[in-house]
Formats: sequence, C-alpha cells, structure tokens
Amino acid sequence: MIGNKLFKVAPGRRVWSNKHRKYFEAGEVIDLSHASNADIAAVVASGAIVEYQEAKPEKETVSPGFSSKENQP
Amino acid sequence: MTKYTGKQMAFVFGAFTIPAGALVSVDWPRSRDELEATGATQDDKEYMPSDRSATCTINGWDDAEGTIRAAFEATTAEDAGEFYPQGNSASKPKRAAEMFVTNISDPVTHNAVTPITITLRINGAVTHSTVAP
Repeated sequence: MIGNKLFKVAPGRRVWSNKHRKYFEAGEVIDLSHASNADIAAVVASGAIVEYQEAKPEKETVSPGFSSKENQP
Repeated sequence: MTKYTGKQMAFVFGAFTIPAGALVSVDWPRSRDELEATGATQDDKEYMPSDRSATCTINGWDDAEGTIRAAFEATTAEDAGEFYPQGNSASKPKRAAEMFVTNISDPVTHNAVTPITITLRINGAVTHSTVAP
C-alpha cells in the first residue's frame, strides 16, 4: 500500500504532471497528494517514479551524566 | 511486452484538443541525417550520424463547424503539440514538441465522410515523458 505521497522521478525519466502543468526531471521530488492510490501505483509500476522519504532529523542524544534506572539505588 | 492499440490516443495543439471521435491516426516519424565519409581505399561505405528531424501527420474526420481546420490552418503560428499515443492517463507515455503546420488537406466527396489530413514540421527537440495525475 502506498502511504507516502512524495515521489522522486527515476534516473533517465521525465514526468508530466497534469495537476502541476509542468515537467518533473530525473531526481526531482513530485507531490502526488492529490492523486488516487491507483493512479500513483500505475506510475510507480511504469518505473517513472519511486517513493521518496524525507530525511528524518536525528534523535536528540541524552546529555552525559543522566542516570539510567540501572544506576539508581 | 504488451501490445496496444490507438483507441485512446489524444492530440493537443496549443489550446486546441482534437475532439473525441475525430482523430483517426497520428504518425510522428523521426529521421536522422547521415553524412557519407567514404574515402579512397575503402570498399565499404562509411557514414557519420548527423542532425535529427521529425514531422507529424494527423489523419482525422473533419467537423462541420470547421473548428479543426481553424486550429490547423497553414497560417497558424508555431505552437506546442502534445501527443498521447495511449491516452492522457497516469503512467502512459507523452510526446511533445514545438511544431507548425506545413500542409492541410480536407477533400470533400459526395458520398463519403469528409477526412482531414494535417502535416506539421517539428521544430527543435522532442520531449518524452510519462503522464502523472
């Protein structure tokens, strides 16, 4: 099931978006939030786009000196 | 490999979309010039690839209102042509280029549906893409 609606245009491919009325070149991110899962699946199956995951920020590290439960008396 | 027919094809020229049911066939041949580079002592001809060119021929049924002819007059300015060989729907291919009309013909016969044939010259590069919603 496709949950993410952000996609990247595959290398060597170009996508024409009827919604955006523009071309998306290889490597560009295209937002298909407006599209049905069936239409998105069809374009993915054609190899023109791949799912795109935005880089998640790194989790904040615990500051040194924090006592874990194991260290508690 | 999946074969397909042209039943869903569509053609757009500028702001004009050829009406549903009027488009019969589209041929978009692409050519590449060749330069002969054969010289003395060579028994087999040698060629170098050169520049590319393309034309587009549209066959259709003319409309009584004359809208198709009006959109494709020989004097019509160059505009963007878009061809969807399998229809304008998600995942299908699209071909586009700037083009201008070089010939238009619509012979009228007393006992036959009136056809129309339009020939266009492709000016510049052809852009290939995949349709997304």
